[in-house]
Amino acid sequence: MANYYIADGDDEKVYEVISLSEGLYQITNPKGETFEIDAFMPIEGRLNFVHNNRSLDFDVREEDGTKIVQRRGLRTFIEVLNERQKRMRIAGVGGRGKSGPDLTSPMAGKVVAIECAVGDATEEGQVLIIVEAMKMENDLKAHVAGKVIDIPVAVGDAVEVGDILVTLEVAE
Amino acid sequence: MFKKVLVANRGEIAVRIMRTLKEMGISTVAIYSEADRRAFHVRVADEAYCVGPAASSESYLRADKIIEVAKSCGAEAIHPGYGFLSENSAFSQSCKEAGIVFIGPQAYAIEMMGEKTKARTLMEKADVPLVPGTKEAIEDSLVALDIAKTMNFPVLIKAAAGGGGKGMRRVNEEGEFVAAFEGAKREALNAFGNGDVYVEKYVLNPKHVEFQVLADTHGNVVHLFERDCSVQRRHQKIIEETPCPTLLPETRKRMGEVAIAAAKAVDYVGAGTVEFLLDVNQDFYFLEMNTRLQVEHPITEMVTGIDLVRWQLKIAAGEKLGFTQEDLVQRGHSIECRIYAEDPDNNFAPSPGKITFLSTPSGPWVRDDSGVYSTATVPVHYDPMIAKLIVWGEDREHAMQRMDRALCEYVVSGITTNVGFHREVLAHPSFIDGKYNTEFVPDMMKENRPEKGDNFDALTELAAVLAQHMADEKLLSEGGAKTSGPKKTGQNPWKQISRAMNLRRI
Repeated sequence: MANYYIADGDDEKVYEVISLSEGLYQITNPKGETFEIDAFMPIEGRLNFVHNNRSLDFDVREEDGTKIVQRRGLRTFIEVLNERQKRMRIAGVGGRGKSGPDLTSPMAGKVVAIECAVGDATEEGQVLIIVEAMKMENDLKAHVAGKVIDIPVAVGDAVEVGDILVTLEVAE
Repeated sequence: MFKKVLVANRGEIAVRIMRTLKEMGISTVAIYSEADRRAFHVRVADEAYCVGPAASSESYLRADKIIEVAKSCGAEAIHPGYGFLSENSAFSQSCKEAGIVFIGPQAYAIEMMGEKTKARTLMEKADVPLVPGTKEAIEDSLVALDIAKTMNFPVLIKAAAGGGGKGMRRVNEEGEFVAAFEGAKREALNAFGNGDVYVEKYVLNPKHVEFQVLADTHGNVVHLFERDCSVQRRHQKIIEETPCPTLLPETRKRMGEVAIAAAKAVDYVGAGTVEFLLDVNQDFYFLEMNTRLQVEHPITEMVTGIDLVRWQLKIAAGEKLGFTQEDLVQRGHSIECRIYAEDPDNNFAPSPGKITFLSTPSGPWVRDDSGVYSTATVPVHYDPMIAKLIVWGEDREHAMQRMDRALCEYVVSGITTNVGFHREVLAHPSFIDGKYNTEFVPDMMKENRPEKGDNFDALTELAAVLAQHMADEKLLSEGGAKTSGPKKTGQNPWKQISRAMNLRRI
């Protein structure tokens, strides 16, 4: 089971999806209605599904984290977050909005590069470490200016949400 | 007939011309700019020659280079398409001097029709109706009133030295005329130091209706009926149809005769278009003559069954027209929608870029004249029109239904197009009743745009969620295979995915 979130003003809409078998999904929409959908992608970017014997064809492509959906010549932009993306959003990639000096991982993933060394002076917004999740590299940035005290992880390490990646000493 | 023809153009029109050339067994030669190496017309052609950098002035407008290419590759004729060099009389003349046939009229006709004042004088001699107006300034308001009465109100009073609307008054009825005339004179005198004004008929909410003509070198001229091109945004046509829904048969007959007279007045040869304004009283006035193939020519082809490009070539090769006016009939109804890479929600701003996916409509009586392909890039240097969608129907309603069906099939991804906007226009009451005029699209843009309907938002959300879910599943199954070493065969991938999902708590 997986939940997906779409912003709706200040609120959000939640869709629950369960993979029943290949191409068959059980969906619970924000109204609480549960139904099955038989879906397939003929090629990347094209989606067809049959729902209550209604056949619907779409073009769905992602650009800058937003889904561009087209149907019958009409188009709309939808931002869908999966649970991990939602956690990242709440945590704030790169430690945005956090007050503590340490850089912690906002996601579960793998360290692919370390862009700083112990003793380095850092500026706010400087990329310190890169963590790969879902094949996407995420630049994690210093949220304060300071000095690197410790780097408890190494390239190739798997990290969990909240793991300390870089310990910083805040500049006076 | 020619064995090899150079097409001095790009995009959909170059492709459309080459298709007819191929049907006639004629070798096709493309020219292209450095930005267009991968353009569709280059892929379609038998031979292709780069003529310069991206800027049109350094490539598609380089008459000297193009003629040089034609000479060296052995092309006997050049088809200019529309735009670029198509209405350049010097180019037509240079082709002639180089011994290459220019597929279009002779330089004289291009020149005469290219200059408004010369064209007006010539048309007046040929008894072609012009927007009525006094050519010289009038001093006396009562004399002016008498003239105005002959034109029928509303009329426009214009300052001879005018500009910016100063000294310009629209007068709707006789009673207002004298005061408006004196006012305009004063205003003109104050603004320009010159109080000369003249009077012109104000054509109220006109339709833009044009007539297609074909003329051979043996003195035969026919017209192939009208096209209503009144659906325009920023004075650019976006939808054309034929027959014109409001044109009465007797007016059509008169306009056709006038169009032929206009063509004959300049000894016209080839395919040309005579443009008119048509008012609500079925009065019509000559605007200009386009001495080339028109963008919207396919709708004429659809209702007459005549391939205009084929006849352009036959005429250029000296053949006689194979039909008379009496042979030509308008059968059914045809509509064209121009597909532009532009954003209707952002003041029609161009939207160039890479087309990541393209799927064009097909099926009964649907024609897609395209200049692009899936994965092609729409360059920033040229016109944003990427294709034309043309349909035919037994009558107007049928054609509208078919066009909407075809637009629903049109998928262009990666760039923004006006496909959805066309569907809006087609569904608009003003379009449906057929009485729309050139102000239709500007007026429509002031209204609230319609809801997309058909539960659009809920369905597209569902599609977006499913697409995200399917992409996540795919990544997880790939990731799972990676961490567990070489992929084991014989295992149910669904079990693998559910295990991976459980492990990752996703």
